[in-house]
Amino acid sequence: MPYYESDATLERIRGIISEEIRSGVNSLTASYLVRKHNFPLEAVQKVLADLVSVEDLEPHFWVLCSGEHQNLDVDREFLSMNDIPKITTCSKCGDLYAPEAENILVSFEPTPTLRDYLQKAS
Amino acid sequence: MIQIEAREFDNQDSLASYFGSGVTVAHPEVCIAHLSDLHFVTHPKLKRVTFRGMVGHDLNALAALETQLTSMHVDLLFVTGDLSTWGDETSLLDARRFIMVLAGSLNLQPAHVLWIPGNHDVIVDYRKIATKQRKFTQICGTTEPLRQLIVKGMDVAVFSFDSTLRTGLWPFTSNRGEVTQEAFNAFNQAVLKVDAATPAAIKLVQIHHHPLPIPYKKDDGVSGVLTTMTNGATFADRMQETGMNLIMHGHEHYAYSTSLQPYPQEKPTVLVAAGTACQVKNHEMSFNYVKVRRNKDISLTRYVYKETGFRVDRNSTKIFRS
Repeated sequence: MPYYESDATLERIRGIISEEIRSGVNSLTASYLVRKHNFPLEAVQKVLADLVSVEDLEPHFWVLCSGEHQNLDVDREFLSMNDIPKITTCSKCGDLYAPEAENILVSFEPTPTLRDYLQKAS
Repeated sequence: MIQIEAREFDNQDSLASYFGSGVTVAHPEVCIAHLSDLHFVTHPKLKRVTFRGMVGHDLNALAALETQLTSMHVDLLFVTGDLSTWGDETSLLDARRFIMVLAGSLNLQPAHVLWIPGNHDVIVDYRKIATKQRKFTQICGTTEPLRQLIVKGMDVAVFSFDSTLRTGLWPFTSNRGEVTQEAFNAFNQAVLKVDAATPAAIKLVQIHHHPLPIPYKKDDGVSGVLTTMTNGATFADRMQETGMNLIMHGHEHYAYSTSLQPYPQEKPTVLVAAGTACQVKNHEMSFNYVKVRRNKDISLTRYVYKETGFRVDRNSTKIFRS
């Protein structure tokens, strides 16, 4: 895992993410970490993205229907942005919509590599 | 707030929010444009030759290639041999110029552009045993056994092989290739160096000739049978044994891909052949676009030249798990 030697906040967030995963949390979101630990949103998002880039976390993309019902399409989970269709139909309300950045939500799950690392470290 | 299972999302979890923070969330991937067998012929006298196999490049396909690639994200550009048809100075210089201009329009550093000689690149110098006397070497440089790069923060090691034969009588043997024992020695040393310094590096290999024969090609009218390397299976075996992620090659102008795993304790090695990118009188002109996601997968997309330009051949898109 990366260490933010020059930024205590980022390093603290990184440590909290490790603790959350150790405690059994399998899926993390930026909003959850902000709410629970009162960290700045931008810093949380930066650490999460950094951990994706070093393959400690894996992003999961969820599509929110942009129709009037604003459903989270539970069948629509993607591991890559490239897999998200340009136009799709909401499986709940039937609305046809084009997923945009406002309607794509991101959660993060630890990779097997990180799990192994944390298991060995504990 | 929207809740699903144990997850709770709000606007702070949207991609738009990440973009607003200047953060990009994506699996890191190395994007490779794999071209091969450009077969430049720009020498006025050689352009008159029209017999099979010795013809030159298609200018329209070449322009379309540049247009297509500049619309794509490319981290590394590979040209796996046969930059020219005759290996003459004029054609090699023009091929090199084309590649470097293309690299410039893709915003690639020179180190991220890699090529090797093919059998056609050494035809006029065939009898020169010392490779440094070849025009290819003088114009395009020597074949480096190893180039270590950093792409998007990831370590990438590129192992290159010159598989052109230096024995026999052309044209009887020129189609065939071989990796010499000296080249294997240089490769083994390079692997040691990479494993010691950057064990998690993505390991890429480029070679011109076919390590293994391609199945079913006779059905598509390809009759050549002397085109694999004399020690191709040994080469492929060694590449997988040493943990190479991807082998790229050209030569037969027949796009194909497969994965090899003779040693189950190692990850499979993906083997990708590219067709000719722009030589005329071929059944197809194409190039490969490969995305490597470390410890995850290697995806291959083939672009085929049509009347309107290069188009994705959706039937040939493959994802190899690694």
